[in-house]
Amino acid sequence: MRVSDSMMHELATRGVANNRESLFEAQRVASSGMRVEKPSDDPVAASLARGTKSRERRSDAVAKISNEAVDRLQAVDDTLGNVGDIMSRARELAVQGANDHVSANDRSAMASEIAALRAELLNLGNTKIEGEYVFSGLSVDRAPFDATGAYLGETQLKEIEVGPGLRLATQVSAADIFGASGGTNPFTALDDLEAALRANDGDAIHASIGGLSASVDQIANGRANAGGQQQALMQAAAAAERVRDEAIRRRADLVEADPVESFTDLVKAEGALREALAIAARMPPPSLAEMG
Amino acid sequence: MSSLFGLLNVGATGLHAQGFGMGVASQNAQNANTVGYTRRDVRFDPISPPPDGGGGVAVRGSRRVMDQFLERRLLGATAAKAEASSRSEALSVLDRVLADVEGGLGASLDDFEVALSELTGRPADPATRGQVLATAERLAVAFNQAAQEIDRTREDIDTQIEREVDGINETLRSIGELGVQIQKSEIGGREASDLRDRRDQLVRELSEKLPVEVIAEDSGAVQVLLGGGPSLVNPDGSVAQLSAQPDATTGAMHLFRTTSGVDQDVTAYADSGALGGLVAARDGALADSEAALDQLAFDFAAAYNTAHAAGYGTDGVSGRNLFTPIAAVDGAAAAFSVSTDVLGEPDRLAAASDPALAAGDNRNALALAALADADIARGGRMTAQESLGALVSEAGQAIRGAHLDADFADDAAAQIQSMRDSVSGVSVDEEMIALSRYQRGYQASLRVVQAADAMLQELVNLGR
Repeated sequence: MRVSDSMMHELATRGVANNRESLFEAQRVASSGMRVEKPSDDPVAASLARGTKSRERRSDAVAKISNEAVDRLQAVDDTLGNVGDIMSRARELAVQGANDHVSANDRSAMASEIAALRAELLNLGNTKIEGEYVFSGLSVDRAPFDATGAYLGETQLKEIEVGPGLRLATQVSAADIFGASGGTNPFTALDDLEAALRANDGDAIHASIGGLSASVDQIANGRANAGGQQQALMQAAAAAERVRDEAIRRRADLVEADPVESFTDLVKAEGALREALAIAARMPPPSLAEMG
Repeated sequence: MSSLFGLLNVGATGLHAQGFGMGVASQNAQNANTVGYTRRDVRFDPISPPPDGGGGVAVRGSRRVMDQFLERRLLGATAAKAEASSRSEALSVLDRVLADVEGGLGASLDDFEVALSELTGRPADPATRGQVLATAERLAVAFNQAAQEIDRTREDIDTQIEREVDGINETLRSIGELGVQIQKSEIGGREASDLRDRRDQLVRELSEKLPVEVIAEDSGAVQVLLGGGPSLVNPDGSVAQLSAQPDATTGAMHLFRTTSGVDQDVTAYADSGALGGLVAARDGALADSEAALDQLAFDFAAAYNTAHAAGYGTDGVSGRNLFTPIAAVDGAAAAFSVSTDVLGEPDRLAAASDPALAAGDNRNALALAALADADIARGGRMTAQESLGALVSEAGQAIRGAHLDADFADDAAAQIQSMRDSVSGVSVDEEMIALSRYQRGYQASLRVVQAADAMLQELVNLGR
């Protein structure tokens, strides 16, 4: 083939230009650590990476709100513990007071203690955490119990979505615990006991023990349920964290560069450019023009 | 044998011819780096000896050494290269707009969805409510910016197309004028190589803008056709003028050829060259991406507004929009904004489904957050995130395709250029050899003159 001067120069120029381009790309990947930064770097990977990023952020949010709910339920659990203690103490007093040897004066003193316990129970029933009544269901700005102990809250509980279509309650069912939906009302039980004590009526005191026991059991059940809710939320948080971590890993696989590979590519590109430059440095080729 | 004076003449033709040859070889060597220069070779003819002729050598001029087939292929390759590179350059804006970076469309969409998700956990918290509005505003800005960038690019392309068309018209006129000049110059039979070089260079420049085909006539006249179809330059030197005009309804760019006052739509022929690349980018991937973005913004605003209007703010009022309702899909991404119903009023975010429970109810927040998993985009086939992912993939493919086309066309053009240079390019070494050959020839011609002179001298001396 006949070779003109421009062909040789063009070859050297293109050799250098192409290798510079390759080196530039290798440098970009090595310095950023990212194989895919723009959609055109790898359209499919970029598109999938968008999905993984979304999954990462949203799972993280689910984990966050689930963990917050767990924390709140933990605080509520402490309150329920105190409620349980009150009712246990009331039952103790009822058992003591039911004894025929107890004097009317002692029963009267017990009645006063019961009244104090009832006030404390009302206080606990209207517990607020972060400005919200915890036993009101969705009506968080309304005190769930009035002075008579009637339940004014909502039975509908606040829920969060921990997965598509999967919702978990983040409030305990105060209605169940405080007997608003067909169980024993602890306020009524205390009222009955107090009245019986004041009336110095041993039979009536004895009769109140059953209601108090039912109430204690009811609260214990409620705490167990709340514990189960906490457990479920913790599991949901852990699952969301696993999804998040998996999404992060998947995204890294999609868009990040393998450090060893990118360094090898860089070295290769440098070597190739060096060779192209060595060839270009030998321009112009030997010619008759210089041999005059 | 011819006369002694005739012999002197023979020597003289030789001196002239070798001198001419040296001139051409020197010119070739000097133009080794001239763009568009085609190397010349010298045409000598022997002159028959008497009685038919005077003997010696006749110079028939120089001629450009070229392969018409390669020249034609080079025009096509140049156009393809220019098309791919201008298309890929024009599309690069999509890489910027759709890159998954902080503050980008994807990240803003994430932020908004996350804020809604957190709202379900803390529906009464003012900071969380404020966060939802702030992320909604950032999402609006991201939509606006993406739409503006694509819009601006399309406007830039329109300006560029206008400039290219002006340049093309100028070039067409020059080619027409040169054609006439070449015909006049070559009436004497000698090739007007320089004029032809200039014309061919102009045609090559034209092929960077448009796909052209050249039909050369022996007379030196040429006809230039657009993409093998309508004629742009006629053999008589008359030229057509081009103009670009976007379609009034579709907005797609159309190219018209005007000859004697009649417009012809020639868009379909101009599918290559820089102009073809610009139009392909403008009305292809850029238009598609903008439409997809508009559709997403439209669907998004509509879906979230419907869900938001169903709920109640903490003040117990419902029916408010979250985003400003958008009337038309066209331009939706640019018009996307947070509704004044809720702007700056986090309390008005409709997290509740029941006005009586407005403080703690998160059920409408749940409904809003669930939209992230709902197929609200692309005709109810995809979620907003999936639709954005599809857009990223489609735009990415378009840009990547343009890059690959550009690389391929670049290689192909380089290869054909190399083949063309193999035929028409200057080799300095060859010209050096040619120089010494003509030098030797010149010496030989001188010897002929010397010999004839010596013989004449002797003849004159004989008479004394």
